[in-house]
Amino acid sequence: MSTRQKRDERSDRNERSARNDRVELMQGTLDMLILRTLRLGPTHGQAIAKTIERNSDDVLQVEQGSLYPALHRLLRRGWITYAEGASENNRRANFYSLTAKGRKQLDIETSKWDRLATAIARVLRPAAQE
Amino acid sequence: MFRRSRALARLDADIQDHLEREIQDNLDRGMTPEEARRRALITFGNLSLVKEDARAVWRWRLAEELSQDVRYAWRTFRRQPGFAIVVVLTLALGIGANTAIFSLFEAIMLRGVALHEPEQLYFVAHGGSRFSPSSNYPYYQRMSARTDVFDGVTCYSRATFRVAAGDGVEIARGQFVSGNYHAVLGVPMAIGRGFSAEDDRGGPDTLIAVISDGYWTRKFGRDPQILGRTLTIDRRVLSIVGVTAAGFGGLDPGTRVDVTLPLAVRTLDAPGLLTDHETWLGDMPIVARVRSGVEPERAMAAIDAVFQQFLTEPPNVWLRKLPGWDTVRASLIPAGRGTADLRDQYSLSLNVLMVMVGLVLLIGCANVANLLLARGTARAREVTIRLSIGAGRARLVRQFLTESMLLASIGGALGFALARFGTATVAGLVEAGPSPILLDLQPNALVLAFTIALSALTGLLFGLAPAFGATRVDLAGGLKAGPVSQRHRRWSTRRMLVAAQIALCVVLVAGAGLLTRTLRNLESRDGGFKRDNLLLFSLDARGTAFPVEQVPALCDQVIERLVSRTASIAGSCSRNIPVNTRGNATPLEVPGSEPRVRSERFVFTNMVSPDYFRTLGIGLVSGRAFDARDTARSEKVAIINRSVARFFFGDADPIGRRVHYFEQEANPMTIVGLVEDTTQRSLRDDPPRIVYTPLSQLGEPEGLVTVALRTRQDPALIAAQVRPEVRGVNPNVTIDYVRTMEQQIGTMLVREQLLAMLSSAFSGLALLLSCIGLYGVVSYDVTRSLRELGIRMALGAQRLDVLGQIIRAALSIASLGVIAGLLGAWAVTRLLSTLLFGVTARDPLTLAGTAVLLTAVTVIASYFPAHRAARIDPAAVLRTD
Repeated sequence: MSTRQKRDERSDRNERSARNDRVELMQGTLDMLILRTLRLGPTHGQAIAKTIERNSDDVLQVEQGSLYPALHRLLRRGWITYAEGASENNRRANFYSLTAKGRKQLDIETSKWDRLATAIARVLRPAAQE
Repeated sequence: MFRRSRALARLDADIQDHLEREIQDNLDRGMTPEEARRRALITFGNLSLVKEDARAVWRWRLAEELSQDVRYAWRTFRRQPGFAIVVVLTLALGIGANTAIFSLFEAIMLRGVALHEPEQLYFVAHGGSRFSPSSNYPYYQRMSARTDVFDGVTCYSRATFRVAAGDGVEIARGQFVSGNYHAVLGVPMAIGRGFSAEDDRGGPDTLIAVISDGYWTRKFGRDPQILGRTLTIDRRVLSIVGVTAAGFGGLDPGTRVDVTLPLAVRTLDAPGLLTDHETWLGDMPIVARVRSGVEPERAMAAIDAVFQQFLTEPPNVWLRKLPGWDTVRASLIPAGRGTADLRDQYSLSLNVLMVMVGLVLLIGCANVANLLLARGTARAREVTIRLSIGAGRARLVRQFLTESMLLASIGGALGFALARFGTATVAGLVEAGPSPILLDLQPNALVLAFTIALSALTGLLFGLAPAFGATRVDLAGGLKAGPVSQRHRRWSTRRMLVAAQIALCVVLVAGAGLLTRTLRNLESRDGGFKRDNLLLFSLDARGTAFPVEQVPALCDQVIERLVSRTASIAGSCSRNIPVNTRGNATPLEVPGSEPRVRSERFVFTNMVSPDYFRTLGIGLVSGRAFDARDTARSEKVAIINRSVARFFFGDADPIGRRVHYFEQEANPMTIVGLVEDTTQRSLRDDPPRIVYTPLSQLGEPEGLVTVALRTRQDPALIAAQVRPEVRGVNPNVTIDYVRTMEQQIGTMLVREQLLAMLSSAFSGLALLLSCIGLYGVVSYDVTRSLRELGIRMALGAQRLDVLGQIIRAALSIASLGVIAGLLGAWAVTRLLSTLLFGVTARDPLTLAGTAVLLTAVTVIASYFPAHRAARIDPAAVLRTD
């Protein structure tokens, strides 16, 4: 585990110096966002990155360097699968798609995230509770 | 594994696709192509790091799961140590035996000589593919001239050296070599140098020697100041100039090269050696290093041209007249593994042993597979639960295989350690005797690789079926029925495995039986002489101060003294002795008899003292033995054996006939006696034709003779007296190789002993393993059918019926195995034919004995569980369920 974390941090640092006006993704959230994106339908790697950025109004910046390890992590766990296919202009590409297992996982992750976000919001703005 | 390779195969294309899309987007935003590409690459980040990270994702998973599996397997074994110990021991014995035999196989059949680029080295031979060392120095010189195809040509000649040690002489094995020997062969040196390619005719630097690493250790205690120290050989003082590296043992595998001397030293005694064409039959192998890039065919054509030219030279034309020499051609034989004598002698035996030991391992594997199958049944519940909560079947199969592999690795490691004892035993056996086979049987990389590969294969072999069998469960049924699901299937697999074990066992036992009977037959073969109470030793006057001409007289004194001091019956002295002596053969001419082809007229010759026949117990058929009348000045006489008489004289009486050896018309001999045939060179051969002449009438002085003593008591007890008594007669001569006739015969049967001993050990092991397998299956069956047995006994079945039923069931499995095994043995034992003696490959007695033995073993193995079953208390059994 530690090796991979180190690598992720390393690539994070590289990217950070280039663009610091956007919000970095937290560890692990990228996986969830990829799953969410694929829920819309099978698509290829670059489109996943673009979709995440566009849907967050360009607030979230997907570090493309960590996109592929993340995709392989999801493949490994059997949450997504892929097939070769033709996209627009008849270009061949890998199309990633959500598996049943991945769909279940996305539900779990989403509800986990919701609880986490609510909890953090409570801590950060206790006044808003009253 | 599969998903991983597929995913990673697409990674590159995927990233490439990503970049192209990014570039396209940038172009659409109006960037220049260069800028678009640059921005895309910057945005993406470090390409190779990304790829590496993606790969790491998979690597991690494999390692993680593997260590998980190993830890899990280890915990399982800890819970059932008995199971793990039985499996590991079975595998250790099987893999250990295989490793031991492979060590021997590797050392004899596969190992190359420790020389520079050995694949470029060839022996120069002639007369077909068999290696023939016949050559002489002029021939060697003509070969050396072909520098167009050879980088270098050298020759060597095996020799035994008598090295001065203290007040006596010690024997050292060695060789004379041409001056360029070390350079052409690329002999690795530990210290010092090899010979320089100086003239073989000798010069100021002639009296030098190179010794081997082993000799350096034994005789000089690895003295670092060895260079410049001296050896005294045949009263010449030679200074040591180098020590060869530890791996080097010459070009004759199995033999030792203690001391190497320049050919120039030999020419000091035999000045004609370098020019003599007559010594064609000298043992002087020529070794050539073929130039790299020269095809063997071209080199072959070159040496044949030299050979044919050589045969037209006037001193050599006579060779053409030898039988078979009119069409003979020269050829090159690869020398990378040295001479083939040892390989030829042991090739079939080693293959047989490899197959046998492989069968033992198979039998062991069947046992382990059976245990795992039984365990798989017991684990069906665990498997069912794990499958139900979402474990993949592939994942479970891997878990089971990991367990098998772990067991196989532990068994393999233990087996590798065990193998060292096995190889030590074998090495001790082949190193016995006067011409020991010296092998370096230290485990090396190839042997280790063999063990590892074998262990992995074994793990797969016994693990695969149980792994798939155990994971093939019906989920709902598996949970409901508990541990007894899948009964029928599993049982039949187990039965078949045991039957197969017994079949293999039959083949092994039959083979071992044939090989053991061969050894017995050879050991008890009547050689035409009385082999008990015979003490033998070599008396060697060569290289000593004692004049060789006086050896017969010395022998008389030695025999007289030994006979009186040891209260023996008789003693004799002869040039050759049965068995295992190289004979001297020459054509015999019988004037007035039917002319025969010269090549058919060869007889073995032996020169003996008067009491030879009485001492060895060779029967005199007619005429007389040699006696005091036969002196150097009296009429030349000869004694022939029955084979000579039959061949040359038929039914006519040979006594009084005059004969002479080939080209010895001037020395006719009168036949005065006829004796029984004796085996001479090998116990397997038919007795050869032998002509005996008195030692006192020989033409050339004979420095090396064998003394035989017919004793009243165990000759081994007298052996220690030989040296001091001979010293008392003459302290100068060398006494070597004191042994009894039984011991000498034993050393001839090293290969047969090796085969009989190992095949018996392997079949014993196979029997034991099959016994355990059968016992396991019968016990298992009894345990599972306790309820049924209980009901039957409650309904009135007798204990004896139960006992008989179970043993009959075992016998039905065994008889299937025995029949299959006998058919197998019938088919394969004929491969042993050339190794057998006095017994045919399909010997009915051996096959019947094997069948009886296996049946007896079956009854014994099944008796104990059957007995247990017959003693159950029906009430207790029925209550527990």
